[in-house]
Amino acid sequence: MTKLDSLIVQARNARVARVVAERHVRDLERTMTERSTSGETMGSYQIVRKIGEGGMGVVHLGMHSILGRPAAIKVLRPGLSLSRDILGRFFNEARAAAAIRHPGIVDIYDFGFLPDGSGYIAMEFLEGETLGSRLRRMRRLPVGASIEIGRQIAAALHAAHGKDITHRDLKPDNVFLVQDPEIGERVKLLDFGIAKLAANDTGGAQTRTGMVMGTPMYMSPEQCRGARTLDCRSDLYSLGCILYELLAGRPVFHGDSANDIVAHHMYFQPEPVRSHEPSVPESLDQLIQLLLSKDPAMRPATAGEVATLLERCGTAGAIAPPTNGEPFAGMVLGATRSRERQDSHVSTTLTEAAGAVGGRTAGLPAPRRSRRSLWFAGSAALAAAAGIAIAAHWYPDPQARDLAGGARVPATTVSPGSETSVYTPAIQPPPPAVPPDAALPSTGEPPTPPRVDVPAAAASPPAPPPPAATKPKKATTRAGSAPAPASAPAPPPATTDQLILEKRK
Amino acid sequence: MTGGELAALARQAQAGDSVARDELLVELYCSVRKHIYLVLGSRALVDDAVQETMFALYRGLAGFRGDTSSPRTWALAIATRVAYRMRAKEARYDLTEDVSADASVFDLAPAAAAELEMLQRALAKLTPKKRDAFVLIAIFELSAEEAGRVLEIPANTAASQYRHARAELHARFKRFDETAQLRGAEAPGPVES
Repeated sequence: MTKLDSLIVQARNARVARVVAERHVRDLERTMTERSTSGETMGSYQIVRKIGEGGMGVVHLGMHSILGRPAAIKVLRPGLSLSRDILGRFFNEARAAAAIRHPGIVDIYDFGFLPDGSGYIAMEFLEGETLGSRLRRMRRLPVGASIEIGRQIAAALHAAHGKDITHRDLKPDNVFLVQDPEIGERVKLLDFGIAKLAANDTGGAQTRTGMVMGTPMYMSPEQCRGARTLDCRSDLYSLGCILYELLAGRPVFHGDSANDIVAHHMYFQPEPVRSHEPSVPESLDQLIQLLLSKDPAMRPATAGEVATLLERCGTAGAIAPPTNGEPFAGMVLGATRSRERQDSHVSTTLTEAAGAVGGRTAGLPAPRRSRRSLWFAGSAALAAAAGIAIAAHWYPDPQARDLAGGARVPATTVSPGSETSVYTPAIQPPPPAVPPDAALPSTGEPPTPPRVDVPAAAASPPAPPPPAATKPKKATTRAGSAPAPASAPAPPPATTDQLILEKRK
Repeated sequence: MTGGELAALARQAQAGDSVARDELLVELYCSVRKHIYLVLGSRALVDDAVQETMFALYRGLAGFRGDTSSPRTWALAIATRVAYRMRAKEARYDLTEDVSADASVFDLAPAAAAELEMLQRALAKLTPKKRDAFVLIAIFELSAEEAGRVLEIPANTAASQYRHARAELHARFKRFDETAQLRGAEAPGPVES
């Protein structure tokens, strides 16, 4: 063997020390992320600075080079951009949010790939704070502010559901609160990252991965079970969880582990909000119990219905007239559809559902003059006191992330096999039953309530209200009882409206 | 690790398996580092070139198609292009002076590391084209066709570059062989061991 041959053999066998290689690969992602931020342009945006970072990537503040408009630019980690599954989910957010176009949903300007291959989404730059951070700061919110936030979330969800898009990961950290000169404070829903266009609901990888990633704190029972098909009522359950937490100052369910919480969502009846916070109006408590029904069919049928109901659940004496009749129509239609009833009387529907939850009947407060402007003023002041926080949205808080880490059990219950659909193309969904503008929270003229005369329903209950003093006892029985609609109607139903009237006397 | 194993890792990485991705990148790093060490004369640029290649691999992994080349050949092709750019830079800044081989990143005994450095210094004396062809064909055991694809030259051109390089290197190391022969003539039997 010649010298050259032996050198060649040695060179062939020479290996870089594994520790060196591993260290380099470990540092690769970090170095790349750092490199890609410095004063660069992304698409047509000049990067100003980094405003947030999380497991999925980095958010930059960018300025459009021509329009001068600020944008939050979410850049998926280069490593994650390798996976078509994750990329699909990432762009799904952009596609879903862009399809909805509603003031209550973060605006998407642009999305695509950076020259280095990372996916990015340029979206409306929001200044304010997430509902999650406000909750951590204040523990609980006043009833009026909670209702208004809930109503706006419901209105935004209604718009999304109208496009057949389910959010699937609704939680306080995905609800952003921004100042709006017109209405004081505006809710913006973020992170349609695991949203799915219902028409393409094949139980694919997006759901599966989403479940692993989501926090179980706000998951619907069907989501916990790993149901293949989730519809908009899953979001309504999550909204119920959020409202509960806003008002009670504590999550619906506590648990030592994610599994614990999951089990609670599936099998345990939540305590009434009023047992934690007696100032919460009865009607609101009942609505939340409805939203938290284990059976989706027992929940209000549409988010529009919830928005209308919330609007009517104002603080004592301050019951707003419905500002918009259409969601109400949706509610009636939805109620009829979901329960296959000819009788689409809202009051009846609500009563029945409430009875199903806890053997208690409910009525609807009559619409009155709005005192909403006061809530707005209140919430605006709160926000002002909080100062302006930069929108480092997109990422769950560490606690939620911990929970997500432990939340693998429900995910494994999703049976494998049909997980081939990865990339959900933005197909044009069929036109919603409700005209799109119906979902816009209009501040305009009082509507003409379609089809159903709610004030009449509230004013003429089947029986006189029971004395208010008997209420607390029943609240406890309600918490434990299983759905039993048949046995429900025994006590004469009392509407909040009447209680309020009584108190006033 | 065989080409098949690397290809399997690449598929797993593309399906979102980050463990497989990192394993693949570690494997490719080893090849890339060795290749760049051998083909890039200047030590000053080795780290930059390796870094740049790894970035490109990292970003390009999603688009990598296993049907046209193995992950290692793909990585070597990128490393070759990066090295080519680096040489242009080298020429511009006259960094050729800094030809000090350093085999310390390799998992080698000191004697073997010294031998590798010797080979590296000998390679540095070749023209870049011959050097590239030689390293790909002799060290990474690519066929002339594969080397041609990596270097974007016809296969027979790659083969002839390799032959020329081999002849030059052989001449350079001739005296080692002559010494060995002499020693062999003086004292028959196995010299080593």
